[in-house]
Amino acid sequence: MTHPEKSHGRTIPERTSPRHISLTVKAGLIPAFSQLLQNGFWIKGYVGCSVKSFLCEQFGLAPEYLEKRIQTIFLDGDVVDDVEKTVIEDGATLSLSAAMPGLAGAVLRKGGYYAAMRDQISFKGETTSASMQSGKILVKLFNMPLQELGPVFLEHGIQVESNKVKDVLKARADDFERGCGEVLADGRKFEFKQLLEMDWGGGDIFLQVKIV
Amino acid sequence: MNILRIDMGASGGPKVSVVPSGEYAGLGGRALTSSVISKEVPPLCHPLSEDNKLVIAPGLLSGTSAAQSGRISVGCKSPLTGGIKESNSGGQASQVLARLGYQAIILEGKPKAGELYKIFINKDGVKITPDSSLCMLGNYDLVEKMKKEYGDKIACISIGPAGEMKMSAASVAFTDMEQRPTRHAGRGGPGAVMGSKGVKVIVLDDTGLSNRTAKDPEKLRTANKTFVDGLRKHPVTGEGLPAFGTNILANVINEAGAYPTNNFLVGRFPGTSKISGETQAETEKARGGIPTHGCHRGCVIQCSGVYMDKDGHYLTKQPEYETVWAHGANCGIDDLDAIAMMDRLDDDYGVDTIEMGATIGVAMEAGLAKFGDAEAAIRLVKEVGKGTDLGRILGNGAAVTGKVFGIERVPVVKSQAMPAYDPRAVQGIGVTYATSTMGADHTAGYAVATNILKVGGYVDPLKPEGQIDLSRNLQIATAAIDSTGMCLFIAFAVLDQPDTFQALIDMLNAFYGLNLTADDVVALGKSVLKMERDFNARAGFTAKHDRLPEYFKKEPLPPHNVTFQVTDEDLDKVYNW
Ligand code: SF4
Repeated sequence: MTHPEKSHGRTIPERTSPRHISLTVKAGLIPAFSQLLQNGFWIKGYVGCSVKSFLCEQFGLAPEYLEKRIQTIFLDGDVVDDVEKTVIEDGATLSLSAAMPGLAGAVLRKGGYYAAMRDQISFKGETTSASMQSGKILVKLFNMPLQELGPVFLEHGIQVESNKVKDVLKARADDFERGCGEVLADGRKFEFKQLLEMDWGGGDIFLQVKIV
Repeated sequence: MNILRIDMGASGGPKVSVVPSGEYAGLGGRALTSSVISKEVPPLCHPLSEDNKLVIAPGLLSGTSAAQSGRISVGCKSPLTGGIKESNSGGQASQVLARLGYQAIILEGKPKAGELYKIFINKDGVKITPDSSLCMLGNYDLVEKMKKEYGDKIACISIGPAGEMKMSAASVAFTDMEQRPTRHAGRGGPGAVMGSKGVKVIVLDDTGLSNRTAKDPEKLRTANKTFVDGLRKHPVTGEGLPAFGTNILANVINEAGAYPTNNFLVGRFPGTSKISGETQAETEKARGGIPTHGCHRGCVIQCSGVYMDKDGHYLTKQPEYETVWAHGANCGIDDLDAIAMMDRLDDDYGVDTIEMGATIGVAMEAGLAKFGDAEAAIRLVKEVGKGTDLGRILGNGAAVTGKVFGIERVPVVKSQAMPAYDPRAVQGIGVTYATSTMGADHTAGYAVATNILKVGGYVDPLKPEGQIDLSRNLQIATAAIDSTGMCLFIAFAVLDQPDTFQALIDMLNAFYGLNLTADDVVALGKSVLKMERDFNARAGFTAKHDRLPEYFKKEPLPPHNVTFQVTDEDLDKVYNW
C-alpha cells in the first residue's frame, strides 16, 4: 500500500515501503534495540575468511578486543576455539559474548581448559580459508559485546526484519518521539510519528541508528 | 565458637544446649554440615523422622570483614533424594549467626504433638516459644510479623507453607539486606526437614555485637583487599555478573543449544531474548528497580537485583538464571513478569524454584497446562501454596509428579530436578549431574581453579576421558570452596588469577592463624566428598543411581541432535582417586 506523506510542510510523492531507515537518537534510547541485536541482524561483507579477519579486517574490531573481551563465540551454534582458523561461510550465524560465569561459562569459553566437556558442540567445520566472496552473515550480540559493539553496528547499519524494528519503535513510541533527532526513510526526512504511520511492508530493512 | 543444639523432641519441650565445637572444630559450611549428617544421622532413617537433623552452618569467614563470606549451608538427609544434602544460600543470617558466636545450629528430634515454634537468638541467649499464629503463613507475612515483634535489625531463617506441609521441594528461606525472605536453601527439600522439627522461624539479632576478630587483623585486611581487587578487575565478577546477573547465561546457553526448552524437548528457546539477563537488567532499570545488588552485606560482585512490576512496585528479587529458565524456557514461557511472579510465589510458599519449574514442565507434558501458558503455570504454583491435592503432588517435585501422571521424560537424577543446562549438549555437566552426591546439581561442579589447584594432577582436557577427570576435580574443588562458605561466583576470578586464589587462602590463614596451602584445600574437598559418598552408600545408593534418565541416551536434542554419550563405565570412574 502506498500513500502520500507530508514532511516539513512539503508534500512528498507517493512511495513504496521504505528499505532504509536512519535515526539519530539520544544515547539513552540505544538499549531499546537490545532485543533486536540479541536476536541477530544481517551484515554484508566478504565471507570465506576467518572469524578474525571478518571481524577485525572488515569491521575494524581491534584484535585485542577479540582476543581478550570476546571469550565465547559460536558459529552456527558450535563453540569456536580458534578465531584464526575457523572460516565463516555465507549465511552463517556468528554470536559474540564475553566470558561467562559458572561451569557452563568455563566450558563454553574459546580454547578453554574445559573444552572436552562440550566436545559434541565444538566447531569442527571448515578450518582452511576458502576463496573469499561477498555474502552476508547473521550476527548476534550478547552481554558486554552487546553494550560495547551494539552502538557501533547500529551506526554502521544492520539488516533486520522491518516488523521487528517497527515493534521496537512502537513499544517506546513516546520516548522515541522525545529522544529522536533526524528521521530518514530512504533518504527523506520525516517526523517520527509519520514513520510509524507508514506502511513498512514486510521483509528486511536496512537500519542505521546514530547517537546525537 | 560453639555449636547450638536444639532438641525439639525433648520431654517437657525443646531443650537448648550450647556445646563446644569438639570434633567439628575448624569446619564450616558444607564441610561441617556433611560431617554432622554423616556422623550423627542414621543413613536409613526417614528424612522426616526424629533421627534426621537439620544443620545450619555459616562459612569459615562469615561474620568477618572478608568479602563474599556470607553464604550459609543447610544440611540434612534429603526428603527429595534420600541421600545427604547440602543446600546453600545467601542472605544476612550467615554473618549474624557467626557474630552471635555460633559455628552452627543443629535442630534435632521432633516435637510429639506437632506444635509450631519460633526461636529467637540474640547475645543474651536462646528463647523458644510455641506460636500457632504463625501456622501456614507465607514467608513474606511471617517476616513482617517478626519485624513487628523483634524490630527491624533481625535476620530470619524460616519456612513457608510448603515446609509446614513437608513437601520435598520445600526450601529454607533467609532474609536479605532489606529483610525480605528472598534467599533460599532450596535444593533437596531442607524446608520439609525444618517443618518436621516444628520450627517455623529462627530469628537472629546481633545487636551489640561486632565482627569476629582475626588472629592477624592486618594480614586479613591486606588479603581481603587483594581478593576484592581480583574480583573487581575480572570481567565476569567485575562486569558481567554485576551488570546482568547470573541470567547473563541465558543467551549463551541458548546459542549453545543447551537451554532446555519445553521439558528438555529441545535445546533452544525462541523467546530467549525476551527473558535474557540483558533484557531483564534493562527492564529493571526502566522500572526503577536495581540490576546490581548483593544478597548480603559484604558482597562486592553483586549478581542480584530488585525486580519491580509494571507499575514500579517491588515484586521480587531479580530472579536468577536457573529460576528464569525453570519457569521460563522450560515451560515455554517468555514473559518476564510472569516468571518474576512465580519467583515471588515460590519464595513466599518456600519452595525451590528449580524443582518447581521442572515440575511444572513435567505437568505441562502430562497435559495439565499448555507449554507457554503463563497464567496456567502461575495457577499450578498457587495450588502448591494452597496445599490442594494437586498442589501436594507438585510440591513433592518433578520425580513424584512424573510418576503420578505417568510421564517418562522426567529430567531428574536421584529424584532431584536438573538445572538449566541440557547434559546432551554439554556432556561434562551431565557427568556431574549423574555422579554428584547431591542429585542433579549444577553447583556441584562449578568452575573452580582445578588447573591452579592441580587437583588429581594434570589433566589433558582434550583426551576423551578428560571430562571424567575434569568433573571429578571440579566436584572436589567445589566441595572445598563450599566448605569455606564463600560464594561460588568467586570461581572465575580464582580460576584466572592465581593471586586471587592465594588471597582466599591468605584470608583463611590470617583469620585462624593457620598455614593452609592449596593442597590442604584440595584435601578438605576430597574428604567432604568421601563422607558424602559414604553416607549415600550406607543409605542404599549404588552406581546405578549415578546415571542420567535413559531418554538422554536415546532422544537426540535439537539443534545439535546429540545424545548423552558418556558410558556407564566412565561414569563409574569419577570417584576413583
Ligand atoms: S555474587 Fe551473587 S550469590 Fe554471590 S554473594 Fe553476591 S549476590 Fe550473593
